[in-house]
Amino acid sequence: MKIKTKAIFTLSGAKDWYPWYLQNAIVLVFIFTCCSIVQSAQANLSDSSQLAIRNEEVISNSPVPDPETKKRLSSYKYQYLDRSHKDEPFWNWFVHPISGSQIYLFYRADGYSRIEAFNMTFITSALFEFTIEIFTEPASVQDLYQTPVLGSILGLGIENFSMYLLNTGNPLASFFGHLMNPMTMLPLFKGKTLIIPTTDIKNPDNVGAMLYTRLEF
Amino acid sequence: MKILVLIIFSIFYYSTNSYAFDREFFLSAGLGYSSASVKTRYLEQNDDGEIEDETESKAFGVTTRFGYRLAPFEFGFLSDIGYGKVEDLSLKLIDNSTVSGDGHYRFVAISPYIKYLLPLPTYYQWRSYVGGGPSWGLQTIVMDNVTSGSNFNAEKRISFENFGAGIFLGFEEDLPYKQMHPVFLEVGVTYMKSYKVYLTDASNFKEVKTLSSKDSHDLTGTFVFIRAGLVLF
Repeated sequence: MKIKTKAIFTLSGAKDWYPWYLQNAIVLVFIFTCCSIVQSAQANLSDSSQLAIRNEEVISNSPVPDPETKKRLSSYKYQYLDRSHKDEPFWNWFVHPISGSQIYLFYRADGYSRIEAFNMTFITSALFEFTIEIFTEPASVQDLYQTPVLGSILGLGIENFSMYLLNTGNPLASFFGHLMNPMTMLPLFKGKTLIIPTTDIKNPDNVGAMLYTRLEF
Repeated sequence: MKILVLIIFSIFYYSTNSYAFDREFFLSAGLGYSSASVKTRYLEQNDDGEIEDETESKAFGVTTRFGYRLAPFEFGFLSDIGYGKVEDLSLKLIDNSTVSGDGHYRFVAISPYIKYLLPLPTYYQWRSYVGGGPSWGLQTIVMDNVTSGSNFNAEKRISFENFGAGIFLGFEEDLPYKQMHPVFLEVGVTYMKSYKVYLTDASNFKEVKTLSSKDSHDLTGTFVFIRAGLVLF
């Protein structure tokens, strides 16, 4: 019996992800602690304008905040976690999902399974919210949830469509496949091809067996 | 008595031997429909000259959830995003000026939840469950066609931040692997109460400015959700 093989582009989930969870969690705690120290020092030393940098209400109504307001502004919850962002469709429904999808595709290209890539996207997004974005505005519950969730759903669609384009063999389709999913151009893109056994039923010499494998993806 | 024991035994036998998937993270998505009954002194419905303080609206949107299945429980977060229309609306703003017209509203609700798979026999691969949890929401009302009132226009909007709790009851497909994309269908009820209201200016779509805000406990709403979707991975 002859078994033909067919090579297709795919993303596999073969990466051992647990050490990366632990590593990211340690990094998250470390950076968050450093930011806490810096922000607390800033809150104690700064004048009213620095304290009010994120509070339009205070800027417009009371340039010099009273002690109670000052205490509220320097509170843990105010500094680091807001319950919401303003309803900004451009950011909440466009920019955050797209950025989340690219993070998801990065981890997929690096060999993580779908749910593992989602989990890593969640951690990475949280890292960004608590370390980078915190210098402009507090991390919001909305962004912490929507970026990885909507990003992963969008990333799943982009992944499937880009793999379809890459497997057409058409140079123009391949170009758009790489354009949609630029992570496929990185050296990280492991498991580039998947060898799939096929049988040619038109040729009687090749008929007789089917190899079944189940893959975690 | 023997029959009773047999029934109880059967229930527990079926309930502990055929969970769709277990000890796994998952992400699911689907479509949602919600019917909201909102009562507030900021949102008044003008119906033939009669001003009421309660209005109803229907919205369509998407629902997502991710969680961890530890059968027979499931822990996670779920989100509802909806978009609906409102007609003949009179809106009393924070500064007590009133505007009227047609518009639309959108909302996002995020809820940490716990779900319990009921110890009942599956019926044609469908398993029932109940769940619930606290819920946080942000509702935004946009007036598309202002017929009367102050300088309020489509570029300005009013947003309510709400907090409440909800429960849901549903059915899900009992398939051996989550890679087979089990489907779910559920009905939920959530009660919310506002704690803050904003008046915002969205003339620059990249940067929405808060014109004014204040604490508010005046808006209460009951949302009935119908959600249908599947486990993506």
